[in-house]
Formats: sequence, structure tokens, C-alpha cells
Amino acid sequence: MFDFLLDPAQLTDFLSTGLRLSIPLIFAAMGGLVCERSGVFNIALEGQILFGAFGAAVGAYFLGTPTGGLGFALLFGALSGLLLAVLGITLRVNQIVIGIAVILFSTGFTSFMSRVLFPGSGNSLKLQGFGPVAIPYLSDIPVLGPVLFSQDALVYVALLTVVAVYLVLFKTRIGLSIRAIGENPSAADSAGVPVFRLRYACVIAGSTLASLGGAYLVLTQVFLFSDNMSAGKGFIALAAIVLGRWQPQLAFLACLLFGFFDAFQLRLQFNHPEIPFQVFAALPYGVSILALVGLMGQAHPPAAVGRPYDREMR
Amino acid sequence: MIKHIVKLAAIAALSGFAAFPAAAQAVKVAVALPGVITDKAFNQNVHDGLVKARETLGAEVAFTENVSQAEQVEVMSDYARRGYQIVVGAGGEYTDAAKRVATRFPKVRVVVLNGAPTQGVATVNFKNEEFGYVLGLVAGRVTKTGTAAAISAQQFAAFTTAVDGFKAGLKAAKPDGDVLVAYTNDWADVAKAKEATLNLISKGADVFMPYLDAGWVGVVQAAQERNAHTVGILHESDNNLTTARLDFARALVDAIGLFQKGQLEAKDYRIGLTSTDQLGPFNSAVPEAVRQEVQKAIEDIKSGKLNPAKG
Repeated sequence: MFDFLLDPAQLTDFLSTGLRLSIPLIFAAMGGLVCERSGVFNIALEGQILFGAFGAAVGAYFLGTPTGGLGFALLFGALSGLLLAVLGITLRVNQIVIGIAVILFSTGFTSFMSRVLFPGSGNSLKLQGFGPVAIPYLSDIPVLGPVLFSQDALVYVALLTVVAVYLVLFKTRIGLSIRAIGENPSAADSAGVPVFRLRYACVIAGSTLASLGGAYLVLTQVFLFSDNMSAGKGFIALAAIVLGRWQPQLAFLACLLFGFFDAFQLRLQFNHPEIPFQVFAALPYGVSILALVGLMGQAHPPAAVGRPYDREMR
Repeated sequence: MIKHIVKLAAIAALSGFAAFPAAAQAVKVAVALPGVITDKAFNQNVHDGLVKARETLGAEVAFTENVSQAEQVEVMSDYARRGYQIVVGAGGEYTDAAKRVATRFPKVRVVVLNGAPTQGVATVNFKNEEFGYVLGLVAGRVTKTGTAAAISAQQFAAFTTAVDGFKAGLKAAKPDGDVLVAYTNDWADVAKAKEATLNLISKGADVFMPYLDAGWVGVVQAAQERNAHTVGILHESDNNLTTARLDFARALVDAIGLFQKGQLEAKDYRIGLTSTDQLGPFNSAVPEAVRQEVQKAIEDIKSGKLNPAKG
């Protein structure tokens, strides 16, 4: 059953698959985490991945370069973040409701527009994507080299994002302010922290990060756009945030857990045709439930998350 | 009040007279689709059938895309309530929903494409094992490693019978060959289909039969990147060694035609592999001798000399 772990070539393939399946989750989870740490629920991650994927396809198709695709993905992500921020922070609409609205809107909008913009719809595209970048010397290490150090550029970006989010949130003054407005916005406000501006910045930055997950799907994984290609990854990222107890490093591990179990599941199936495949498909979710109830203790979300800040409210 | 009713009746009669002659002929057909009509695979094929039925039979057609498992009964019942005479569930996963809708609306003819035979429902099936056998035969002649693989989203009857045929065909060409099977759990997830394929390649497979909706693109991409081959069963692509054309478009048009003649019954219709034009063009990687072998296999299946489920 685990014989593939002993063969270096197969082990490399397994680990690379796991990492590749984790990357969109990592982007989305980091984006969602930044939003929630600042006190705003971002349920729309699923839609923002889709927007990112669509933007990447539009940019790469019309500008002909992967960088153009990346630019458009970021733009679409930022716009969806702005929409969330205006509705959720300024107009104080229920943040769960607007999240769902953005998801529904993204599904319809991208399906419709991809039929209008791309000849023969998005799944016949052959877009220009990013190629693998091998890091000298490090990529020659057996197993770990090909898995970690000869990946596509966006994989490195994802890993650096985790470090960056951690450093910004916990090692800088602005990170302290972000965490403060997520816990007690009125206290932060009275200490002179610009609550509204900072929440806007976090939501737009977080949404942009989530859209990178979609850009990754299009620009380094499949080079085309297909309807609904986010396929539930945004919701898994939400679970990863909770599983990681709103800590970037733990949420990162949770994403890896989901990604590797997915890869594991794809591998186990054909070794054991007599076991129903659904068992393996459900494995990552089973593990996350176990982790939630048993291993990680009680999860404490940021105290002010989901509650729009109103200076006049007592 | 009475005046009002008379007036309404008059309007109804008038509009009825105006509209009725056309409405009497136009059969109303609605289809619930699991995916999107641009997937270049099953959903698109079924949609083509609807378009053809509108053009050739003058049918009035409607469809809903992306109908999830939970919405199947609701969507199909809604069409039945709105007076659609034929309500189609596109795919074997609609069988349970179809049965419930057929019980609730006995006047509506409920059809399931690729569904297991069900009481009260007309099911249209291809003899998947026959198509699978021929694809397996071609795969077995082209494979270098002796290992082929089949990929689908979920385990269901049409797929497993196709795989049985595929295995038998492969073993006819390579007695010590093997067929691996993987499920991605998502018909449209291109990225996951691609990863599944890459993993199967590292397990030694070099010919792939994807049985997916939009996800098939991922399988073809992975195969191209690693110099492996694909055979098609629901999708057509230049990279396929050959393609089994499960022409659901034609099957749907034929079913609607039968309905117009009052002959579409609630029974299982099975469409076999009888001629080479049910196969797509051969790729240049398929030698001439193999093409003739395929021709002969089709004739043997037709004459009953060959049992494609056993080899």
C-alpha cells in the first residue's frame, strides 16, 4: 500500500502532486486569514479564486504573456476585494451574505464572459504560462530538489507569501494594528489606529492573494479556463484557516495536509480497486474533523470577526 | 363576474386557435445537464442533440446547465409541470431523480441517458463494453509499457462496463497487460484530472481513457506533456489514438422522433457498435494493421462471434 514511498521517482511525483494541489489552497487561505485577522469574514474565497483564474486567462489570452495574465488576475482579485469592502465595511451588510453573493456572481459572470471572450469557450485555450524555475544546486538534491526547488515561479511566491504574512502580522507594528482591529476595533480606534482604512487594505490585499490561487491554476497548472474551475478549493481554504486556528504557519500546514491527502487519495485508489474510492475521497475531510475535535483544542476566531465596526454603536 | 369569465374564455379560445396548430406538432423537450454545454464532451454532445431536434423535428427545447445532485428532482419536476412532454436527465446519476419524477408526472416521458434500466423511465444506453473493447484493443497495440488507465469522476455502471470492455480489448492485444482505474470525484476539475494522470504515468501507464466532462482536457494535457496517448470515449481530440463516438446527440434526436410517432416507451434502449463511422479518425501512431484488426473486431462483435465483456 505504501510501496510508492520507497521508490524515489514515485515519491517525487507524489510529493510534487501534493504540493501542486496545495498551492491554490495556500494562496486562498493566506488571503482569507488576512481578512479575518482584520475582523472581516471573507467567505468569497471560492469566487475570488475563480475571478483570479478568469482574469489570468483574459490577460494571458489578450496580452499573450503570463505576466499580463498575472496582472489581470490581481486586478480582478482587487476589484472583488473592493466590492466586499464597500459592502461589508462601509455599508455594513452581513458579511456572510455578501460572500455568498460574490461567489454566485463570480460563477455566472466568468462562465458567461468566457463564452463571449474566448473562441470555442475557455477550455480550448492554450495559454502561455510560467515555466519551472530550477534553483541552482538546491534542485540537484534527490527527491527534495525536484519537489521544492524546480517548481514554477508561483509556487515559490506561495511559500514566500506564508512567510510574509507571518512576519507582517506578528513582527511589525502594522501587523499589531491589524490584529487589534480584528479583536477590539473600538479600543484600536481610540488608540489612533485607522480601523476603516486598515480593514479596506486587508480585505483588498487578502482578496488579491486569493485570486493568485486562481492565477496559479491557469498559468502553471492547466493553461486554460474552464467553468467553475475553482471546484470547491475556496471552501477547503476556509476550513484550513479554522483548522490552523487563524495562525498563518498552522493554516499553511493545514493546506499541505489537504493537498497531500488529495494526492495520497489519487494514488491509493488504483492500488486498491476493491476498496470503494469514496473512502479515499473522504479521507482529507475525515482527518480535518479529527484534527478539529481532538488534536488542536478549541478554535478561537478573532473576537470582532464578522461584526462591521460602527463608531456610533455602543 | 360571469362576463369576466366569458371574456377570459373568449381570449383563451382565440389565442388557443391561433397557437394550437403549431403547438400540436411541436414536441416540448427539456434536458437537465450535469455540466456546461461548452465542455467539448458529454454535455455539449447532448446539447447538440437538442439543437438538431429543434432544427429537424421542430421541437421546442429547453435546458438547464450545472444541475447538481440535490437539484435534479426540482429542476426536472419544474419542466414537467411547465408542460414539457419529454424531460431528460443527462447522465446515469439522474436515475433516482428520474424515477421519482416519472412517478409524480405519469403523463410525462422521462428519459435518462446512460442510466441503468429503471421502471417507468426510458433509458438510452450505449453498449459501453463494445466501445471499450475496441479502444482497449487499440491501446493494447500502441502501449509500450503494457499498462493503460481509465479515469472517471465517479464509479457508475456505464463507466465500469466500458472499463470491462477496455480491459478485455487490451488483454486481447497484450495478454499480460494491465488497466489501472482512478476516480477524481469531480467531472470538471481540470487540475485534479491532470494530477491524477501524472500520477498514473508515474505508475507506468501510457494510454489513457478519460470518462469525464470538462476534466478530460487535463488528462490530454498530462498525456501530451509526458508523451503518452489518449483514447476518447466522450470527447474528441486530435491527440486521441481513436475515439468511440457515443453519439448522444443522435440518440436524443432518435428518441424524440420515436416520441412523435408515439413509440417512445419506458424501457431500456441499447445502441451497439456496428460500423467504423462510430469511431473517430485514427491517429498516425496507430499502424494500418491495427486499423484492420479493429474493423474485424467490430464485425465479430456485430455477428456475435466476439463477446466484448470477456474477450
